[in-house]
Amino acid sequence: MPRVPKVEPLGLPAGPAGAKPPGAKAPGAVEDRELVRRAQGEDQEAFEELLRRHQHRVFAVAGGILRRREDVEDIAQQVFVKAYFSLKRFDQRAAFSTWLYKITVNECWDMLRKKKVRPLVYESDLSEEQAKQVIAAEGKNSSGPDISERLEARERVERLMEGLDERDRLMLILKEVEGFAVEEIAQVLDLNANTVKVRLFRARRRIVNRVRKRGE
Amino acid sequence: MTNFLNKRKAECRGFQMQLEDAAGAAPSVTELSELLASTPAALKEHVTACADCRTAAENILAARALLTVLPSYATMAGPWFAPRVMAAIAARKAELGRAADTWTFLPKLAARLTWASAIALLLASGWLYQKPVSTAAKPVVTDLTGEPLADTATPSTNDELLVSLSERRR
Repeated sequence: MPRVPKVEPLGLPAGPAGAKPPGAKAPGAVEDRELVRRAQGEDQEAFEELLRRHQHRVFAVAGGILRRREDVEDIAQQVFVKAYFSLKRFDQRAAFSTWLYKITVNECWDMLRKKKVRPLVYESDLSEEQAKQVIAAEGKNSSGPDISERLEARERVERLMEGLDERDRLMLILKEVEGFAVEEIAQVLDLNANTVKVRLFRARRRIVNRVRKRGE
Repeated sequence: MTNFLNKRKAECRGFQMQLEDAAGAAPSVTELSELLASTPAALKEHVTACADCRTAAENILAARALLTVLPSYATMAGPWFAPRVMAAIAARKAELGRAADTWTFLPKLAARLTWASAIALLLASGWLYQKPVSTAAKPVVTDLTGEPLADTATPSTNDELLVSLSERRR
């Protein structure tokens, strides 16, 4: 029996309040609610539209927790397959995105529990060829610091974040790297928006203090 | 004094929440002056005067600058993903369909299975009713030489009883 979360209605918009996420619906597009209703009636196109709309956010959340590309792809697929087969039981009291985030977070924690590993991977652990592929896949231009410098910088930041609580680390990544709004992070982690803000302040203070201590 | 400090702390918390909102609304801002440019005058004044809140604002920008080196996983998703998921769903559906087919013969045979089990039950109960009751062998009590103390063969009829009594007299 798949574990599908029951979520309380939040009364929040499906999208973030801040920057528009990639894959966000265009103005005038069909609402998620309508698409869900159609998908519940076996309309595959409606489900595909929901998938296209939310895939970026699911990748972002899974990436924030797992930090391993292969795992992120597998989990994202698993999340949508599970969502498809559980959709009939989704009563739409909460936003579809909230429900989907909950599935994503549960799947990620389950995977980490099964693997019993810390969700950190340093790109220095990858071969040079793999690391180049990783950076190339991000589609960034080649100007700026070279690949090895960028990898080193990443590794340094990942290590700085090691001391943070898993949830605080996820909050920071979602906020500063993936561009989630505070309200959206609150949905993902099932927390109050003010709690998220306070925890973000503390996490930032810790990370900045660590940088100052190290004299970086 | 404590009340004053608590009040000040609560005031700072309120301003820090506003700072978070302002930072969220301007994700590309890197300078404190830019961040404060679009905020209400009260917040600007407070941040200029309060060291804690200024540090909080600076921390927002410092953490932002620090984390720019991390890759965004949201960009990993692309047009290749939807067909992959839909194929996985189709495969799973086929698998579930096969599993369901395995058990579809059961309802079709339900009536026959009911009749067969009813007949089997009837035959079994008839046989059990007519089966002769077997007497359980009684334990034989022997003396020290191993001879049975009593005649183990218990006479079942009066004639047999008389015969055994006459044999004993002899």
